[in-house]
Amino acid sequence: MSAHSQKSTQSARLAHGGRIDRSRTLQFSFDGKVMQAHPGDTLASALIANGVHLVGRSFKYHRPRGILTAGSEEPNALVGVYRHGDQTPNLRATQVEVYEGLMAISQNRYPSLDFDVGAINDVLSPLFPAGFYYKTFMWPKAFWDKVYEPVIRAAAGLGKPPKLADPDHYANLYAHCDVLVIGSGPAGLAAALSASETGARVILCDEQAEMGGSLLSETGSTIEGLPAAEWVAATLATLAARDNVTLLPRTTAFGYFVQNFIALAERVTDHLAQPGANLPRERMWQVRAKEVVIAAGAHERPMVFPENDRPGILLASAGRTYLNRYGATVGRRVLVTTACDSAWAAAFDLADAGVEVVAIADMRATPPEHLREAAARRGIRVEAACVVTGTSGRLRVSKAMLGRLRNDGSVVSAGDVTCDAILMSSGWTPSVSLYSQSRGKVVWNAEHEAFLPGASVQRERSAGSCRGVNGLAAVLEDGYAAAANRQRRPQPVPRARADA
Amino acid sequence: MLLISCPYCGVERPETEFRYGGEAHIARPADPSQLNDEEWAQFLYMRTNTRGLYAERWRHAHGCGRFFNAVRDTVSDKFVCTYKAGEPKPDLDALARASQEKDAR
Amino acid sequence: MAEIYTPVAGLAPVLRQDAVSIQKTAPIARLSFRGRAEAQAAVAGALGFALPQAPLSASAGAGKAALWLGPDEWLLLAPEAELVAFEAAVNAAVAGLAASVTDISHRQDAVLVSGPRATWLLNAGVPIDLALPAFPVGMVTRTLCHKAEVILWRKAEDQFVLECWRTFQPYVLEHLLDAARELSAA
Repeated sequence: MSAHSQKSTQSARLAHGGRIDRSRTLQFSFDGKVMQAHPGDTLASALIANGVHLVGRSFKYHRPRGILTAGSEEPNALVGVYRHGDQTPNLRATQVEVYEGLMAISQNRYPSLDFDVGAINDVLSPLFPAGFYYKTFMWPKAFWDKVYEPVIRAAAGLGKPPKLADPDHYANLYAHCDVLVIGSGPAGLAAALSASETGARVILCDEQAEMGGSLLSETGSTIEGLPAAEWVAATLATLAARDNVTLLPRTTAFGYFVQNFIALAERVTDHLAQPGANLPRERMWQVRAKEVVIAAGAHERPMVFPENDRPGILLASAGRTYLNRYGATVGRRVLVTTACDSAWAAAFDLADAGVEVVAIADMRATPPEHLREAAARRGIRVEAACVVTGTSGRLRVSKAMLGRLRNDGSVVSAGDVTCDAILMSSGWTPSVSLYSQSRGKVVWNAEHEAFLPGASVQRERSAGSCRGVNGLAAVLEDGYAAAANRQRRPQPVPRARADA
Repeated sequence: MLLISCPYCGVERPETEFRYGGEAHIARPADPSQLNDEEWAQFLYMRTNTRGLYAERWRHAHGCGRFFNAVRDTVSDKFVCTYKAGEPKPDLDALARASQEKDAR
Repeated sequence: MAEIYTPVAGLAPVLRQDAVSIQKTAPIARLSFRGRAEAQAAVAGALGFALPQAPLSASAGAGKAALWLGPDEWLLLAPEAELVAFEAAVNAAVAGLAASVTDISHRQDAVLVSGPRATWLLNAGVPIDLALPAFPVGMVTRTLCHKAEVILWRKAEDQFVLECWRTFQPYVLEHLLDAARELSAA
């Protein structure tokens, strides 16, 4: 079907911005509804650009679920994607890349996402405490085989398993290198630059299709005088030109084994509309690295408040990523609730793109002055010592109830705000999974209020926000230092300057 | 995958090239017929099974094929050293002390 | 110096692409030799050169080769036509000494894996580092390719001899061909 003659379905795609290829339009379908997207979209960003937030139902109570994040930590947007006539269940929409003709379906709902009879569980939830089934479904005995078990079995699980044999083949490759850098955000890119300068064999892997990590969502910062995204492109070009460097996007480092033996899973064809029959669908890299640099970044934490799980409620950095990387806005009236500085950047970017930010509710009694000033310049309402105490909106958030935190810790009502999206952030948790897999013990750091990597057990180092280093300049320096050949004269660190 | 250093080939190889051979330095009785059942069972089945540094036999099955010995920490699964068959058993206590000092530094 | 391994005349390559090719080699004489120091020295006479003593190394001369497989084990290679005479000469050389000489010419078969992606292709199943610094030209080792035991001998930057037991060769080749699929256009 011709894309040109179709009216655009992308009600939430902004006219400008994002790293998607706006010169081409793709068609994809979700639950049978055909929508439009652009090359570079994930299924999640495409759905958001089409104004779709409801993507699933929760496991037990079948509560409506929306996209929460923009990355691999997505807990809600689990979908099935068709390929070769059958569907693979439980894929994260935030990691599925859209191609022409992609067909995806939601899961765990009957008969439909909008009207799911399973939600009766939510209504009856007081009758379903944990373990309720230990004493139920026992009488009459004959009912177990004929009634209870089939019904429970049909209701169980999330996605449906595929029925056809898997037609794909999968490859394996043993690889050796001097330095394996895991993660291609600022710390990883700096580490890869540094490590490969002396000709050492370097492998740089990143789970995302595009390398650059958090720099791809950055607006205000410059590195060596270049906007962050441009520095990423230049750095990747430099790395790609070096024979001793192997770049592996779409490749997740998923296992840290003894003596720096790391397993990587490379997704080779899932993003291709017409994958060549000779290509393996995935490749497992079994890498033995002399040194490892873990630059895995940090995960943003949600704010905890009742009913914080409605569709339209996302992490603040996800809101920023959907805007800056994909040119899509999470809503038309966005509330930001936060306990830290970084969410304010999401609010500012949205406001600068013409989206109404109804308020920034900061839990802290005195948020930093420079942030309040920047908000005032944009005409954004700021509420200090303010939290969200509840929300409403069954299939999409429509209202947030605010509360004021008093000195004694009690909360009094501070009115309601109408909103169709909430961005939340209570801080960042360093990603220490791979470090922990290497058998290192994490250590509680009171200053960061986080567990950070402790002493190395293997020949590895963490760099950047995954070890609690924050601020772009410090992260770049940390990445560079993690891989620098200490015997040589130190090379100049890429100069970073961040606004706001 | 463990990397094991073969003292004959002089290189480290992945563990799939090797086969484990049990505790090292256990002399086969010169005259088995002189042993009673209990003593024979002791030779066949009883092993020190140390939690800590352990002297073991390994065979480079898919490499040079030779048996050799190794000292491995059964807690951390780290190889402390490997040595050729026929060489004397190292002083495990001294090795343990040395590696503790190295870790403490 | 005559090459010991030559592609089978008139037989199409198992695999031929720009990036990598696999060719079966013509039969040769193979002797498995094990012996102590005295026998090792004696064999030099039958070979025409001393056995290589450096681990994982090979020596060659006058159409023959000796590959170090273990501290007292070598694979001796010679042209097929010379098998009977060669085996007799080696046996004569070590007569009365502690040694074992076994004709394994028909136990093993070899292929030549050549091309710019030869290393890449072998690393689909061989778990060791085959980059030049770690595995230079002339290096030889017994190792694994997936689950089969093989002998790998690097003849040039872009060429390896891959020996394995005859009945395992279809398994090894099938895995290599499978890994090479993606190198050909869809």
